[in-house]
Amino acid sequence: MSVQYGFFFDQTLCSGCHACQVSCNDKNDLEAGRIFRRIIETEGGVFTPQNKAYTHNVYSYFTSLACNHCDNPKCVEACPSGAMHKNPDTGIVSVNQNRCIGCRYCTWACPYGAPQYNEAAGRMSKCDFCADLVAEGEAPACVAACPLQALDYGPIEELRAKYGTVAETKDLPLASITNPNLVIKPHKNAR
Amino acid sequence: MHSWSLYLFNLAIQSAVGGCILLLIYNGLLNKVVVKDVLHRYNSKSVFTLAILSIVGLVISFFHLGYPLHAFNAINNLGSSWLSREIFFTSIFIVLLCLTVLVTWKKQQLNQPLLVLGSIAGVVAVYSMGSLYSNTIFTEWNGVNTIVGFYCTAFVLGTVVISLLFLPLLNKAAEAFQAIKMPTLLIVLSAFIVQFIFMATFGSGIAALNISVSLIRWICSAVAAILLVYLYYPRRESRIELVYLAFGLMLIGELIGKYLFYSPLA
Repeated sequence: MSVQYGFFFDQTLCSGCHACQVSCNDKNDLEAGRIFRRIIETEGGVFTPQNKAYTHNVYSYFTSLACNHCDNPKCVEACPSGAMHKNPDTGIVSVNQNRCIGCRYCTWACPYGAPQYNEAAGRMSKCDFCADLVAEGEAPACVAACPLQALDYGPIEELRAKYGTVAETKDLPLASITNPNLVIKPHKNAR
Repeated sequence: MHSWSLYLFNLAIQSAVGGCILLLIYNGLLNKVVVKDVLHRYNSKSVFTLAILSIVGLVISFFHLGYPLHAFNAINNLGSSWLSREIFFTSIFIVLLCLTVLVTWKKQQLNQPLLVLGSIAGVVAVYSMGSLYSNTIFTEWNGVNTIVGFYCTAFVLGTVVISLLFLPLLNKAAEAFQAIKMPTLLIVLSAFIVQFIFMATFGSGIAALNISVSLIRWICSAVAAILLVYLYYPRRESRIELVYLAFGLMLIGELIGKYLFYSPLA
């Protein structure tokens, strides 16, 4: 029975604590330089003089992004060896270490920066949705670690029913490029 | 620039493909004015050089791979990957070029059908090369400028390689020089102008990456083109050193241009 897994990310709750990234690094034994879940801070707004003081509309928010296990993954399309592949039963995109030639072309194709080069192995690696944990009924490391419960996972249809269908914000790539299996609740300044 | 191996591979294959086409053109122009034996000597020298150039380029590209032992997997995804297609057609090009060298040597005459087939494979290889770069997340490479630029590089560098290989003949035999003079100028100037229009202007983000280096690049190529017109166009006894200078400047212009092209990767 096939299912398409996806992530939900609540940008209104994320505090930028990096717990998701740290737990992912720990679970996957990642060395410095390889980041399966990236956190980007966005700041904006200005201070405007008003009377003898200032008023402002300054804001900041965080985006926690791993791999979106897209419906039309550009990395899979681009991979010359077929190492990058989408599992038909789970929809998870991962790298076949027996085929990967380490050409890094997938990093030129993914708009989200998901594929990461493994220097020691000479091959590519990326978020694999903690497929081994999910198979046992456990949550991916990042979802389990988030102290604010800003991350959720599950079959994408369930996530979309629960949280909506927004899959892009003003500083994320257009969802129409790769059709990511991501649901996001944008921060009010990110819409 | 750690993508040095891609840089060299790219230049080598484009020069080799351009060189094959130029060699075919030169044969068409020279076979009535040059003795068969003499022409054969230059032909065999040329195909051999082009074959070595493309093989060395391919070997250098292996240095870019993290896991070269799996290298043969690279043609697994012809269905959707432009990189797969590029490697496939480049390999076909090299095989056909090597066959051309062998048959030319055995039959003591340039095998044009094989070279034509090789050139066709090479043209498709360059198209795949351009497509694999333009279908990425790097906006400076998106669009038709990349493919156009690659073909122009192929013609310019192909002319440099073949002209330099044939130079002793052209220097000795005035009729030979006369026969190739205008076509060579036409090819080089068209390639240069088209390249300038596409790469330096219309929507290409490459020039904007480093304006001063881009300026040096275009000045080099422009001086080379003007010098070549001066040396070739009127019938005159040209100093051989100036011809080398013109082609040398043309090569340097292309080297700088390709370096600029790869700067999004740095």
